[in-house]
Amino acid sequence: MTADVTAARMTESPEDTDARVELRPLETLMSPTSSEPATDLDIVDDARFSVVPLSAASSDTPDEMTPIEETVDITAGLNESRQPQSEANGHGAENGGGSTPSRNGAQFLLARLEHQKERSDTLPARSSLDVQKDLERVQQTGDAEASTIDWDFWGEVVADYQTYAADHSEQLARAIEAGIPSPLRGLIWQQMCASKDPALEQLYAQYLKETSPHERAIKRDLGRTFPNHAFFTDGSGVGQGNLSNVLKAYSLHDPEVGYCQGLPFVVAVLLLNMPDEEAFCVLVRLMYSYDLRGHFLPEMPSLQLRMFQFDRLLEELLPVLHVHFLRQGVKSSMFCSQWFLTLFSYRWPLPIVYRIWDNCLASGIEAIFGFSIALLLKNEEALLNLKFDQILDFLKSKILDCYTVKREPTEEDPSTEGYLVDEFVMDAFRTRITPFMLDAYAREYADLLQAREAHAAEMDSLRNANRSLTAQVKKLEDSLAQLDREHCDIVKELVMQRITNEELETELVRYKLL
Amino acid sequence: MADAAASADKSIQVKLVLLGEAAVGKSSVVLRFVSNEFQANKEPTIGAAFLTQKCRLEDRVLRYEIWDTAGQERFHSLAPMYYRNAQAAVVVYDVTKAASLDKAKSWVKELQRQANPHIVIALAGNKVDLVNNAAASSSSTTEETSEDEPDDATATPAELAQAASGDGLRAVARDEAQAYATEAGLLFFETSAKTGEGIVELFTEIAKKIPIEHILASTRGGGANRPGGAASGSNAQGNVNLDANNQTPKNACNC
Ligand SMILES: Nc1nc2c(ncn2[C@@H]2O[C@H](COP(=O)(O)OP(=O)(O)O)[C@@H](O)[C@H]2O)c(=O)[nH]1
Ligand SMILES: [Mg+2]
Repeated sequence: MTADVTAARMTESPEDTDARVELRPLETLMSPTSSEPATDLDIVDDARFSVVPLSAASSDTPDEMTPIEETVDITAGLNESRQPQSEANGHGAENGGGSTPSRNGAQFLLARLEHQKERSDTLPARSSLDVQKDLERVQQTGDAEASTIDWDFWGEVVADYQTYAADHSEQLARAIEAGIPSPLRGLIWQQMCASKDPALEQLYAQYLKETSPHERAIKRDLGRTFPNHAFFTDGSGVGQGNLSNVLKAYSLHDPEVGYCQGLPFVVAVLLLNMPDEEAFCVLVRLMYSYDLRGHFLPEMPSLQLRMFQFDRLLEELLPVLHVHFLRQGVKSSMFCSQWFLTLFSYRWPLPIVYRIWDNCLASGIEAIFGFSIALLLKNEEALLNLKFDQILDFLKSKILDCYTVKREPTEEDPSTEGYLVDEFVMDAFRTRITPFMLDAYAREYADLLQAREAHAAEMDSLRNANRSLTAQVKKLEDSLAQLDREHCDIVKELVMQRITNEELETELVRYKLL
Repeated sequence: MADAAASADKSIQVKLVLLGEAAVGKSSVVLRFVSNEFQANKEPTIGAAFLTQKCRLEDRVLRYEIWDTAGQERFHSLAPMYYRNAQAAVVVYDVTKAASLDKAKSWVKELQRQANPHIVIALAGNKVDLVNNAAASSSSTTEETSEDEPDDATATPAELAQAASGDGLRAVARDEAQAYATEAGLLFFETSAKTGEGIVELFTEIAKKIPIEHILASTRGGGANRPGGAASGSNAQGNVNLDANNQTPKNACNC
């Protein structure tokens, strides 16, 4: 698109030049109103600006692989930032090559902890007594799974998550990889993101008494969030009630985001694991500290960034599939915006969703990349044989088949499908994605945005220059017309004078004859 | 016939995109068209959804490749990707919500400025079932229409009040929308995804208006040298089939 606009500009500029050249004599004639020297400069600038998009054509991506014009733009940005990219590759190989999945996980986990630290310093630590009570509560629920839980280990984790994670990061990463026991999940998630905040819970209660401008939009989507999950099907049940409360409170807490479709799915997953006021606090943490908020802000800046990072990962880790997608016109945003916005909770089986969330909460939203790449890797062969629409269909409905197994329905779980979740999680960890790569791609993206902005600014200034030139041309044309009129008048006068002259002469001749 | 017209499965691909404000019923319209059903509690569209549907039109098989986009203003930045290569667009508004027609108009403007210049655009006033029987049973429809409300914080209190009081009543006159559509060069239909009214007609008329020869020429390199007779022949047959479609609209697109 950008290239098009520029092409249009370039065909316009010669006209400008022509107009100017044509007008030159007049301009010199009418020195008092002659233009400022800027005219020449602008036209020189014009030629220089056109170089920016043109260089895109010289990128090393063959034309036939970029059926969608926008790609041109992106490669243009990439060219400028080759440096950090290759650097990232080096590191990626180093770190990924010899490390076990858990070590890789620990790396992300520690990075997340670092991020969390500032906050835990400022907040009153949750008393271990509280946590102990929570634990005992879970232990006494008689949950079938409770008997298989390693209480000593998880007890220690829950008691002081931040310290434990710092001291035993690899051990913890391995445990998270294996899955947080579901009765403890809500509790641990809250510990992971350090969400417990009595003041915020109070604020939540306050919000519930207020009214939000988004209430109708929220209400409309309530019955449409997990419509097949027993907890949310009843229009007047606790599930939809809590969903409505948390969404309304959040829309008041963060007016800039307000309400956005996709958000209810995130909240629903939280509500399936904890009470509403706690879900609200975790949501606030996810949004602000994990930067999920940038997925839902106007223009969705973080979603755009993460889709860019994902594209680069795809290019780096699955180059053949990447090219196949390009050839078929499949853009990753066509499928991953849904995955990323809802953190995979949109129409995905919950056992898988929970395990992905375990990792997102432990290591950051970036965990989504490992899962996305692992899925494509696992299905690469199948995808390579498909065409555009088949690819999209596959991604929508068959992408999880490789981790799905038929099984006998049991009494407590009547579903006939089970999921190889452990395998999926292991595969995600094996994807060799490092924080370093992601940082490098983020820098590339920032450069790209900057280049885009600069380009837009240039286009703007060109447009302005064009406008002032047009105005000038108009003014000069007016002057020319004015001069023409004056010229006509003078000529007319001259003719009249001549006629008078001739008349006088004839008269003179007549007098002489007389 | 191994005609240049036929792709591997002998159908002509038509890329179609649905645009319009959130909750006007875009996804429901597509679902009605693709599987002839209506689900009141379907998940809202996140990002965009891709669906396909084959239809027979005269002697041709068309295959609609449909992008159903998310309507909330926030998803706007994702939309150009979906309409950029589209040959047809359905811009949907909700006949019970006046503001949704304004949004539809701005989509039409954007399409006319940014999309493929040959794009066929249809305007669809959806949820017409709510106003057809509004007089008879306005109380029963009140709940349904309470979907009118702002999606973003941009709504004014006045709009809120209007939405709250306008339940169950037609907010966009058929003539007004028709006049606008004619002026802007759009196909126009009032539809109901709920009852199925107007849906098949909508997609059938689009199929007829699509410059098929143009698509063939652009999708297959050698397609340009097709005999010119094909175009005039299809026009002659068009009238015949139009009648047939009107008699049995449900069967027009059920391959
Ligand atoms: N009464 C009625 N309701 C409809 C119709 N089409 C859609 N709806 C309802 O309007 C709401 C929004 O529909 P949806 O298809 O998700 O809208 P989208 O956001 O434009 O895709 C849903 O609750 C639908 O059940 C219709 O023709 N008649
Ligand atoms: Mg939709």
